Amino acid sequence: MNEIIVTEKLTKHYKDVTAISDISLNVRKGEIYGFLGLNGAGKTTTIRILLGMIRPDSGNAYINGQRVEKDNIGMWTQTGYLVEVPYSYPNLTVRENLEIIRQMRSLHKNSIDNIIEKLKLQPYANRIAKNLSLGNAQRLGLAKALIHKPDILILDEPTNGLDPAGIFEIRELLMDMAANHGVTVFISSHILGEIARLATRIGIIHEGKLIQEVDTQKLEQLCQKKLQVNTINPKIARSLLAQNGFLFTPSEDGVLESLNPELVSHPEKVASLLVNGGCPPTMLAVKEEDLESYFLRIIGINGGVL
Amino acid sequence: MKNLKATLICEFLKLKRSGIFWITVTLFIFIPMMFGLMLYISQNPDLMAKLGLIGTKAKLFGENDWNGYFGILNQSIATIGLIGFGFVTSWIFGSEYTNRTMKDLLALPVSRTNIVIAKFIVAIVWCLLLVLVFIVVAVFAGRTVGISGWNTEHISRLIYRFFAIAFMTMLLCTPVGFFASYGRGIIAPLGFVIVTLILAQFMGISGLGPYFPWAIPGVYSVTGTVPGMVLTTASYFILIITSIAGFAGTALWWRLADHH
Repeated sequence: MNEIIVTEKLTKHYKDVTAISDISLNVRKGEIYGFLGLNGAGKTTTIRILLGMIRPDSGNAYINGQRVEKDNIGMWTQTGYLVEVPYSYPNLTVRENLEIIRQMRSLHKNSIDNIIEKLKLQPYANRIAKNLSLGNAQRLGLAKALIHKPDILILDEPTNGLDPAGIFEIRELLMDMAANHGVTVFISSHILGEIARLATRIGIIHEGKLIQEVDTQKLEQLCQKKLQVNTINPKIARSLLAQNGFLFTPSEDGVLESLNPELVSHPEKVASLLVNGGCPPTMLAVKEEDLESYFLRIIGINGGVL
Repeated sequence: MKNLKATLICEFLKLKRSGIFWITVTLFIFIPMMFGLMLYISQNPDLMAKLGLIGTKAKLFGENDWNGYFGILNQSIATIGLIGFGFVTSWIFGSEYTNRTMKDLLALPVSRTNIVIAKFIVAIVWCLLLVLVFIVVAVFAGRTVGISGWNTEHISRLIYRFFAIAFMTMLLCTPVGFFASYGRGIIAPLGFVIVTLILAQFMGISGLGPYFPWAIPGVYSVTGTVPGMVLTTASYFILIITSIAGFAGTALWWRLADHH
């Protein structure tokens, strides 16, 4: 069994609003699948369907080959999850909150100490949950998701509220779990940089539709590169370049831009042309689209302006 | 069964740490103490005259004997119980929504029905404890103010009747559990409790009390043969069916509804 998380044409409506439509995806064993989308794109709805919290209007979801349905509780033994902001019983301590999950999952008593140590919650173990900072509440949420050493992790915005050191720590932890222990991670986020660093594959969801799936390694190839040129007189430069068959368009700040792959690979051609034409460049740069711009271009916002 | 035990342990841990538990215990100590005080006032005509409105209320205790006293206690548990037990059930189910911890219970290797059963067991144990506190304090207060005619055998019969009314009231917790789940919080079930309490009074007055579930414990608490105030076999069936429907509705809601 290589495909651990599978969805087939998941569709869910809330009255006349389509939350998700025809979402089909699969996540392979040991993969970290980044589920990327703006707020309200349908990430949490998809995750709640995967966890059996809501039923799709049509389509199916499978975890470890088993169909997600109300009475199939055995499938949650090896699944850990965190949905949206993690809340805990406010009057219970960190340890007591973990005790609840330990009891529910029939785990050994040591599991609480182990996870407290792993997520560096020792100083807060006896603090009641309502007095935890946002970052530590998030750690407690992650501790509840990881306490049983799951094979599958479904995490909705897990780094919300964590400081940069905490984000780094959790990223390292998840990457280690996936790479060294074969844990399959499905992680949703709207923080593009975070997903790019963590995920091995990214699915982009927009307005309830999965609009693209891409391997993170291939992402660089998909990001557009453009040549930017500035001169003292951009009008003359643009006309000079056009006469030689190179079409440039001015950006909002007057810089000339071209997506022509030939020019992107050989900017020296443009430099020679402008120097010989008496309009030498004051700036010549190849700019690569970052993930944020790529994402905005893919979902059709701002036309992917760099 | 193992799952149910684990779920019960969790529910009792939540209860142990909640301030609400001790607030309800305090209230159920305070109320019978007030009854004892009223009884004391009713036994002292001079004091009753001096206390105005309180003195007038104290007259409601009527005969200064254990029968009269238990008459008041029985009617009280039928109404105070409806509110108190309703509040307990609202809190047990509704706080999972107000604390936003509900989602932590939905994808676990424990059936949701077991969680619902555990919650109702905790509700019943909590309510029983309140009833016990109520009756112990009430009897102690009655003995302290010196109600005449103590007879252990007779008092046992009165206590048995009191517990029967309390138990009938407890059976009406289950629909509250449903409204707490359906309403995703504490406000909707408390609203439901208030509406049923008002309707129970209205149905009692209109003679339909024996057929309206929330009026049945109150009707049972009134001894006598007044027409429209006598329970029939159908009354007990209605009460049990309401309780089963409330439990089934709650369990089905947890199992089948979309949990956002």
